Amino acid sequence: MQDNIAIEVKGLRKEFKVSSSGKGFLGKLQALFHRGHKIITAVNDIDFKIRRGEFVGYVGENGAGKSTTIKMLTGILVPTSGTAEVNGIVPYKDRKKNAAKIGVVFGQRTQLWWDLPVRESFDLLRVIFRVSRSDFDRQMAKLEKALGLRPLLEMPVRKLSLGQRMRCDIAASLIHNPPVLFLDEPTIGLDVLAKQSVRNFLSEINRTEGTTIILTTHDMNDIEQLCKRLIILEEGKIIFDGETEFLKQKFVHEKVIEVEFYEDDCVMQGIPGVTVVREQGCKKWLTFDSDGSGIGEVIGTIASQYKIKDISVKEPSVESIIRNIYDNRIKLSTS
Amino acid sequence: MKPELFFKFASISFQKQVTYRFDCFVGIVNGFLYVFIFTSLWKALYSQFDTTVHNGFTLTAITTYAVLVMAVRISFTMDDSIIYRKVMDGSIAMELIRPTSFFFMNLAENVGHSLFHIMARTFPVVIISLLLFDISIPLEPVRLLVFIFSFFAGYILISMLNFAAGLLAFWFVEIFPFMLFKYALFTFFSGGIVPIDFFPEFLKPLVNFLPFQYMLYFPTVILTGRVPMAEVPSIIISQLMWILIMGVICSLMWNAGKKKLVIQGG
Amino acid sequence: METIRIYLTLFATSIKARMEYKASFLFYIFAIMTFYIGQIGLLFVLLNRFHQIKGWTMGEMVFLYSLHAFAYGFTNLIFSQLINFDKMVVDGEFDRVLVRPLSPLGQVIFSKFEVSTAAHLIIGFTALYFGTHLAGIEWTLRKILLFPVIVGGGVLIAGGIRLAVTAVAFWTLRNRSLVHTVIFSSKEFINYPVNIYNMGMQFFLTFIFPIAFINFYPAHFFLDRSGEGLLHPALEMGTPIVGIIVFIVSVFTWKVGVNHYQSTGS
Repeated sequence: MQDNIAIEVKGLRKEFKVSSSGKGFLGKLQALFHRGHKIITAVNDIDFKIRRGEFVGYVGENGAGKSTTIKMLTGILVPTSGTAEVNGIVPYKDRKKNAAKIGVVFGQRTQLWWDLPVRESFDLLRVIFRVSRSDFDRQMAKLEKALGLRPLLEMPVRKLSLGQRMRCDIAASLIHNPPVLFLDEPTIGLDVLAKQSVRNFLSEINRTEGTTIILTTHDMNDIEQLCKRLIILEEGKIIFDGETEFLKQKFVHEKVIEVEFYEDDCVMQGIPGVTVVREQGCKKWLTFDSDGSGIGEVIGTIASQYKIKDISVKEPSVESIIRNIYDNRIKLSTS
Repeated sequence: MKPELFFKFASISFQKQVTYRFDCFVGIVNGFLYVFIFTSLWKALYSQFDTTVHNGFTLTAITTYAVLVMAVRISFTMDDSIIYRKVMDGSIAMELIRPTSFFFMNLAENVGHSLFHIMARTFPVVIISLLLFDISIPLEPVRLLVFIFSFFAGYILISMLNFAAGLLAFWFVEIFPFMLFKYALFTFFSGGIVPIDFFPEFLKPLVNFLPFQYMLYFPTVILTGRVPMAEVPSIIISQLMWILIMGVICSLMWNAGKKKLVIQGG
Repeated sequence: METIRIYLTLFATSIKARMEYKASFLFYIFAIMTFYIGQIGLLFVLLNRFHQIKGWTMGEMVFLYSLHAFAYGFTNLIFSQLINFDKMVVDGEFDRVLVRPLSPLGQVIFSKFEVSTAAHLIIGFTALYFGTHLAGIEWTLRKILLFPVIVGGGVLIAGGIRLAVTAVAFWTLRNRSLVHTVIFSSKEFINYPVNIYNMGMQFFLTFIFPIAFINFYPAHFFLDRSGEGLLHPALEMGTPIVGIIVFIVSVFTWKVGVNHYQSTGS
């Protein structure tokens, strides 16, 4: 593995055996004696490389295999076949060695001690991760400042709000200053402000420390604001791996033109290649064919024929693009 | 509470139990384990003497008692931490806006739980015991009927005891010590291990002062025939009196708890 | 050395966490003691009527009880978190354990501090005092030196069993009732001398589920009793060896369980 590669995954596959139990009263009763099994492939022979310092969004619908991949990269699960290396270590073979060099945040579960003040948890993690006192103090000073932890340190974790707890959890995962950070749904359940402060911090450590970050999320704003690179998973397979910006460019025809006409010129005749997706009085939302004319031409045509009060172009959101990919309305030809 | 609703809740709680078949088999082993220990114990104790009757029990009678008291006890198994969890996670507030009585909903849930235990544990344990041990149960229809009545009364009493203990969660962060305390008193005074007949005289006033013997001991001795039919009505009246007393305690506690919830928001 | 220091810190932290609930601490100890006093009380009720159980008098029974209380007290101190381990697996808490650079078993064991040990030790010492007094035990130097060794062996047996049964959660996820049966219900077996059971059960409690080594066999040595039942004189001193064997087998089972978890997830 080259030095500049943080994570390398080759032909990674994970199969699970699940049991199916019957429905209803009798079905359940029957299941006491007999139960069927079937094999599902959660992660289906995936390959990717992540370079040091990258900020990668790892997305997909529930059950697409995101968490399973993260679990294999963090050493929780052993793959059925294929290989994975993180920092040059095989996580499921050298679990402890790997654990010392990664940070992991699970959005729904805290790693802090519920009944104790936050500071106690940090102290304990310092010991567990064998961080020297001086390194710890230096790192804590940084984290305290960047995440605004100072007022929280003496509070027991059970009294923290979700947002406060997440800030503390992220700090906890960085106490040993790991080169790679895995975040599983770090913004889940947070309010808008809390989400923003978490995002600001993540983008900052990625920039200043060069920490490689892999983020799974359902919130496409996280992706749009943070992740230069995006890996999209569907039914265990990677269906897109590339620049987030590229995805947006590729689906530029998903751009929506919002036009407001003057009242006396409200009726717009059909323009070839343009579809009205929504209208509200004299305000209309238009989309256009990608293989037809460019956006400039479309706007030009409209402006020359009608009196326009206001016109603006809305970028397609990553959210809508991915939604369309999931719904199979867009076919990804290349990736 | 409407009967349909009661059965709906009971059925849901029943189905929840069935989901875990492993637990189900282990439960039979657990129940039988106690039966085995106590029947062995009585056999060992009785074998030391030439006398065959002790405190009114022959070896067969005491073995029958040991099996049946455990059968009743297993049937009464319920999850006594439901209320505690509801108070802790705040979902108890939902009970205030529901149009149904919390006590009866809780009872319905317990009934579902117990129905499962009766089918999946009590019956298998009794059947195995019938095959292995020398047991005699008088099969008089009237006795069986009054037993069923007394059994239900005992069941309601235990539900009320658990309900009241669970409500302590309104006032205490941790109620496990209370539960353990309750369990300790119950184990000793209910006759679940040693029938009340064997208790020394000086403990009798205390036993009679507490409700526990009406939960296990009396329903069981009605079934085994240890109690003459003539005494049964007075036993059932005592059970009903205790239900009344416990009912008053429960509703006082529930109302006080509700008030605390409304004022302090949990 | 470094690793030991880490575990000690982990343990110290769990003590701090437990001490957040000081008020319930004392009541908890009180409740546990009530439970055990109730159990001894039932023994008293029985022996008051029957004088002895298969040749074991009250004093000897109380001594049996003290060995049992010591062993379980220390077992609770070290292996208490294992009781709720299935919850760790179901809630995904165990994933958290796996992403730390420490042994999963060490983390699980030292992540909880159980206060019930204090109650067990009080019961243990009290029972030891009365047992010695009532049964007239002569404490030779050999006996005094071997007492902690026997208790230690008992801890390895009880703790090892706990570990093995806990590991079942890796396969079944929910195993509460199994844990309950194997850890708590089975204790009931050795509240009485195991020679009250039939040969099959004595064999089981000696060679398969060897809890008879926690108190029954070593008690012969301390009480200077001659053998009975299945007892061969060599078994008197078997506790430490059996403890080591049980513990090794259990750690192995646990490791297999962790591997299974890592290949199947939850």
